[in-house]
Amino acid sequence: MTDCSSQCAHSGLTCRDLTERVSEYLDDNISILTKVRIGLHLASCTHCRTYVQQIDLVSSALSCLPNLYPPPMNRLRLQQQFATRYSN
Amino acid sequence: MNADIAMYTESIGHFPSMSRKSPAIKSSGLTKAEDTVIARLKRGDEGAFDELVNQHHSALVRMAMGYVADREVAEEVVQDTWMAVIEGLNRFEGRSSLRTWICGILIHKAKDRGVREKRHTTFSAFESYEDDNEEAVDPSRFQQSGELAGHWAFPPQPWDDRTPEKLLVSQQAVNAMQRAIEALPSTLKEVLILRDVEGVDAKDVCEMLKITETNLYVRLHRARERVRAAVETAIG
Ligand SMILES: [Zn+2]
Repeated sequence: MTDCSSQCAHSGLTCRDLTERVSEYLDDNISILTKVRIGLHLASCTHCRTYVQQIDLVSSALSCLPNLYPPPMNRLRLQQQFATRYSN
Repeated sequence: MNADIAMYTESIGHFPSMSRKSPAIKSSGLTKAEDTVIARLKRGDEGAFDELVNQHHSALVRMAMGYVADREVAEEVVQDTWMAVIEGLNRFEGRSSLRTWICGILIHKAKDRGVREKRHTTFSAFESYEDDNEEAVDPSRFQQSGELAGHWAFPPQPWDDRTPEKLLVSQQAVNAMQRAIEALPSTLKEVLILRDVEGVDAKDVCEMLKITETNLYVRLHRARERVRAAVETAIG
């Protein structure tokens, strides 16, 4: 079920605690102490490693979602407005 | 090093210090690339304007849909935003990044439109995010009691698609992500779109939304977890 019961006793962090801090961890926006504790936990917990990896993956994938473009008429109006405003 | 860690290192590539720095944007001021774009825009370079629209339109529409009811109205709000960008470009001094400035205009207009349509109140009533103590991951997935309390009872199963590119090839995964984003309440949606879809620096997101970093990460993580859970259900 879990493979980290002994190690977690040392890091003092349960899986449930860890999952709450993952986004800060990935952004490297946490105290060095918390970072070490998370690192210790991850070193011995497959499930939390999977979880962190999935959040990282989803977050990265979001930056490459399919593009949406303006309706052609809207784009045309924007181009006209831009040309009018910035023509020399 | 045990086998699990070795495998992990291979698949992500940066364990144990697998932290991810934000994209190369300075928290204030402009990147060199933005400097160039702005100079081209101010010269009236139509190609530069088209590129700007292509680059940011998706995120603006997705963000607007956190405040208004449908895609059509969202497109109107974004169109108004682009008009304001054209109008204000000459006065833009680069105290924030170009996209921070554009997103700021969008949020202002979308909120305004949402309030006028009284949609905003409907959305807020839909789900309230005042309770910062609510956990991101469904608590029933953890052991409730005993020596292993707080440890996974129903852990996430590893996905076959371990790169963003592979994940996005799966139409099921993409649809699940899009639907999950659409279903987010605006407070969660705006942080997710700004930070992950648009890649805005965490500090800039806080400034734009007038929230603390603690708030930001609470919301960002709830939003990411909802999208992750949706993908998990779709492909798991
Ligand atoms: Zn764990």
